[in-house]
Amino acid sequence: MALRLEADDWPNLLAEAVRAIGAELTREGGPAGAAAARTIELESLDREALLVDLINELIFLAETERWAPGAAPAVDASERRVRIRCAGVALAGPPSRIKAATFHGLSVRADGTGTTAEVILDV
Amino acid sequence: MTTDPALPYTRLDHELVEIPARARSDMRVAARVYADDALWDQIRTDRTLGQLLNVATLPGVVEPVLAMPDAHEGYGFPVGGVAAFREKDGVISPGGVGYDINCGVRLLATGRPAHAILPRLSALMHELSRSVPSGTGRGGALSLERDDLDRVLAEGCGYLVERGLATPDDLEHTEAGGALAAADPEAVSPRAKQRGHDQVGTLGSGNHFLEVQRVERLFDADAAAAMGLAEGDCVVLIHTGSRGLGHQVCTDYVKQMDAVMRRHEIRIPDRELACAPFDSPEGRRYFAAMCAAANFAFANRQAITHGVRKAFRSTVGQDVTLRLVYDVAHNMAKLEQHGRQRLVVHRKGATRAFGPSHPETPARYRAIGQPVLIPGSMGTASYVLVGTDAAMERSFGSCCHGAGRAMSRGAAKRFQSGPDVRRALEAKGILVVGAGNQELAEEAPYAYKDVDRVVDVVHAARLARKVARLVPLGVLKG
Repeated sequence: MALRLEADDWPNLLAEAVRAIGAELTREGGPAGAAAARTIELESLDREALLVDLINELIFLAETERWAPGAAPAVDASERRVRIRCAGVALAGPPSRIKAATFHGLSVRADGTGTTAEVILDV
Repeated sequence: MTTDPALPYTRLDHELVEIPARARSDMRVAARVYADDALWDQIRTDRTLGQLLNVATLPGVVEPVLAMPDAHEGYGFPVGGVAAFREKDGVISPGGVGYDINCGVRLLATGRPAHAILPRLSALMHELSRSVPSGTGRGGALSLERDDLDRVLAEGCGYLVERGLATPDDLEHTEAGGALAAADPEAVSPRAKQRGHDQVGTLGSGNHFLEVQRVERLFDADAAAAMGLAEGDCVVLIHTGSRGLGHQVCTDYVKQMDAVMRRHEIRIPDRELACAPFDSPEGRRYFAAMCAAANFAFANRQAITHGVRKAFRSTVGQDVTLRLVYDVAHNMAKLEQHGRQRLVVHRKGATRAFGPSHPETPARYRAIGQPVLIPGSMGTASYVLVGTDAAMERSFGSCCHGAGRAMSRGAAKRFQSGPDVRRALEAKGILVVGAGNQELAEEAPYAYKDVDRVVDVVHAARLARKVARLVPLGVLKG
């Protein structure tokens, strides 16, 4: 499964990733009401690794705590660090498809028009 | 993305193609692909060969790197890839094992004719779906506290004998006795343990399945007899791995190795090939974690076996016994002796296929070779083969692992809907339970290569010898 993202800039691209993965995890696990807001803080080698680590963190939380991010994450990010504050959705069950984000074919590109990324997810 | 048409290669024989080390300036060794013309044409349609050549650039690699006839594009390493590295100066790569560490197959023999099971098949499949949870993260029969989980990671199936879920005979007929001695539970992260603690005894999702099958045809009656298989018999094939725990181990160590490669002066053409010298703290620690995850997978298939035995007893008859024919991995790195060298053999979507003379071949199979189990795609045939001594020389004792994908999941879904796939399978008399429409469409038979052709290549290339062809009666999909 490929995740293609577009945003004005890097922080908004990460917010877009949270929204997209959150929607998929919620669809798979089934929404069971609101869950407590959560702060996620990560540090990685570079932008590509940060994007992969962020998605893997969301997969982990969904599988083990049945928590998925809601629709409006607040993102504070640099090239190697991110801090996200986000309302949560309680999942009825663990999501059944996405198992990991990979470096396979991973790309993050920025130009004058915005930032794009593609991540392959192991399903 | 297809293979560069200018890629130099030589067809060595009907089943084998060689790509010379000069094909790319960064290759250290040649690559070989076991494929006839039709499978070679299929393999060239995606990035499989480019990925295989990438593997040929890694430090300490031993000639040749190999692709099996079911090879297809994977993450970093191709699926269906085999690569050996010297213990002293070679690397180990989590991407060369795959996310589902010790994904593998086990075969159970009922010793009963399939026609005697068929009247109870519907009840049996229903009971199997209750006994063997499927889907990601669904809790299994054995929810483990931390100390128990550590024992599974360290002892594999051996721990389940103590818990009454396995017998000594089961251990004898599992690769490595169902426990890799190099495992260290401390090398497995708390996050991985958290993902895995309630997953022992669960099938999982994706291409995993449990099939009730009939032995349709024998190719080698003596070998079949040694395995306790007769034409028309009912058997059970289980295909699953290390679940979320194995995925987390891979994720953890890809990240760790990605961070240390510069220090080890390793440059790689694809970040998913992240690796470390085997003889380094990072390499040894990944190996210990991988072995622990492999033990978890052996235990998972064993706990499922316990559930299958219970389901058969309650629906078919209290006197039915299911004997384990063999359990073999197809996603693993192992330290093995090949000739005079100690090698770290990575098999990613490739099955160990040791011949009769190998000391690790179980006593029961010394006359015929280690059983090799090749699951087909959902609803098509599966095969039982035996390893050969020739495979030790030709493929580091390895052969294919299945049919191999020919179509992406997205393309498969666009080709036919899930309900249509279900109807097509039912029209062939195959009962399907546990699968949603999306999974059915993604795993439909047309999404995979022709398993008969793949196995014919392996047989003709003397990597393994055909023993029996199995056809499905009922499928429990993960």
